[in-house]
Amino acid sequence: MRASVATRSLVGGPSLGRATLVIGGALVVFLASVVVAVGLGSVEVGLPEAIGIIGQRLGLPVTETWAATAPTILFEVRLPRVLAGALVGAGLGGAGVVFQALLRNPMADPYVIGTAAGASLGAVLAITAPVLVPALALGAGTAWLGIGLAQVLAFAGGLGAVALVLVIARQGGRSNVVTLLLTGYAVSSLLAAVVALLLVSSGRALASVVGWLLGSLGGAGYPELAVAAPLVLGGSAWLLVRWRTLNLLLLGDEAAAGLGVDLVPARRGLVLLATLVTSAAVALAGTIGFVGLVVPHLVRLAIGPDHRLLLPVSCLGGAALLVLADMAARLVGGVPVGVVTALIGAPFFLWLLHRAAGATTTP
Amino acid sequence: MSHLRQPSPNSPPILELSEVGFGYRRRGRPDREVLRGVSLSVTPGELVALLGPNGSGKTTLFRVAVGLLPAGSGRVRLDGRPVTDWTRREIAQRIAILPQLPTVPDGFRVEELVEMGRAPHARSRFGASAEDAEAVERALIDADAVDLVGRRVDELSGGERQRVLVAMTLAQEPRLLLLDEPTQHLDLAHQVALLATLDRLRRTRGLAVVAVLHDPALTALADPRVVLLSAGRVVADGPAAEVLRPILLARVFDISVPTALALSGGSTRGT
Repeated sequence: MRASVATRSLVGGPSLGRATLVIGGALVVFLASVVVAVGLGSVEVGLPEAIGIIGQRLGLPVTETWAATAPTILFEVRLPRVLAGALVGAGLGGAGVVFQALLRNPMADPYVIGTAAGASLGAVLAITAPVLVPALALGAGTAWLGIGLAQVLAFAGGLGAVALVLVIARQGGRSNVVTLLLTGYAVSSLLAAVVALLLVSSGRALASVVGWLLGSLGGAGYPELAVAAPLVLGGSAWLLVRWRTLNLLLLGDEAAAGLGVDLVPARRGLVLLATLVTSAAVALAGTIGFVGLVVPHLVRLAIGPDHRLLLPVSCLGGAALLVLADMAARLVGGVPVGVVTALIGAPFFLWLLHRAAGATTTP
Repeated sequence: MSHLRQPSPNSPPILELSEVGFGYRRRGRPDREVLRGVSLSVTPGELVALLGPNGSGKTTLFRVAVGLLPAGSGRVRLDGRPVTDWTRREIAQRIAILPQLPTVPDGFRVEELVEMGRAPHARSRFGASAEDAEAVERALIDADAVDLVGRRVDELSGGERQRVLVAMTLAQEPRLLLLDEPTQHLDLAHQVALLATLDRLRRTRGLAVVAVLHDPALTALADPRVVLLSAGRVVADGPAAEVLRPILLARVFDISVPTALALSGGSTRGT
């Protein structure tokens, strides 16, 4: 019964070598997507010009080969959009991992317990209020910290909806996962109905509301990025610190508690952090679907369920996916990025799922 | 080190239940009394077999003992202090519990699952210490699960999975082990091996074990202290030879005396 040599090297989670390889690989993919997305777009600014402009901005001696408008296009249009894509993708990928572990449900995504519906209501209120009540038109244009009212209300709406779900789910006595999920579904449906009501009664604002609901990275500027970045990155880092709790929750409530997890505060903390990240992402770009559901699954298929790696790699993977999807949306022109993520991502996901199922059933 | 402590007949109980009652509630009103005046204390180095019919309160007793359910009446003490005074992590450092129907998540490898047993002792934020690695290795050996290392838990057979789950609770290095039907899915050889291991850990490390068992003959083999639970009450508590009497078993399990005699291995002692 001596097998110390065989087990010793296998114990202790992912080896440092494997962790470096996996995270390093994801980082390379992410950076490559950023480089490609920054370099591709309108014809005036290609990748060499983009590198040149950034080099010049960093103080390097570069000969100017680009048009005078090129730096403006790069820094004011393309770069904030790529950064927003990276930030939103990272937030949705990471939050998706957390909600899937928390709810032990493969269909869970960052929006499942009310974030999307609450944020939508907030944004739609901000967009339609001036139409419905003309007196509000003056106030709607004002920006707070350089951020539009729609973003502020979307962020608040996401947080508020989840807070409402948590309070209602607790009324039943002990708040378990199924109650949370069903309460989230009910509250989302209710808020969606209010959104629909607002839409019907304000025909003129319809196009901009639909655009917001489908998700777009075009509206994000540096002030919005500066507010969203610490929320998304800080929240994700804080979630990563809790990887052990996330792993233990997969064992079921009783086993997790038996291993020292204080379920109620642990779950509440995770829900609040993941909701903070999600709401910041949604406020920045609208309710972009698919990324938060599928990226965690793709990453899990590739590297396994250990949250130590699953969470950071899903953040990087979500960022890369959304940056590339938004680039495709820009190149095609006029297509919302959420449509692109679903059009390209869904068939790819189905193919992967099919392959994984085949791998486990063939002898 | 604590796990090397020698059992002594005078050592204070690690777990002490006195007159514990518990009833599930439905719409805020008491619904079903599951435990009635249960008194039970377990000292280091003891091996206690918990027997009783389905629904007699064995699993509920475990949940109340580790504070997952609040006792309705009576007192539950862990290491001399009320169980409610300890944090979940502090309880988990002392008591490991193997649930009857654990969820085994997809995709983890055997050694990763066993390492989760180290969670209540974790000091580092990210890695596992050398101490953790040793505990995991020891647990894999004790649970006879070394040959399963490297395989995915969701691809194991029921019995193999059970050995891995036992290894996970052993890796927790508790002072008290609560095992809810630890021999389920195990073949005869592994059932006997598990009981022998528990007996060895009891003797060498002073580990206290309470295990829900269903087979009187197998139970008698390990010669533990036997607690017989019926309808939420302790109806017998003593050495196996005294408690596992066919007449008593026949009454508690509602079977005929000859059947009980046959099930307890044909032994006639104590009748």
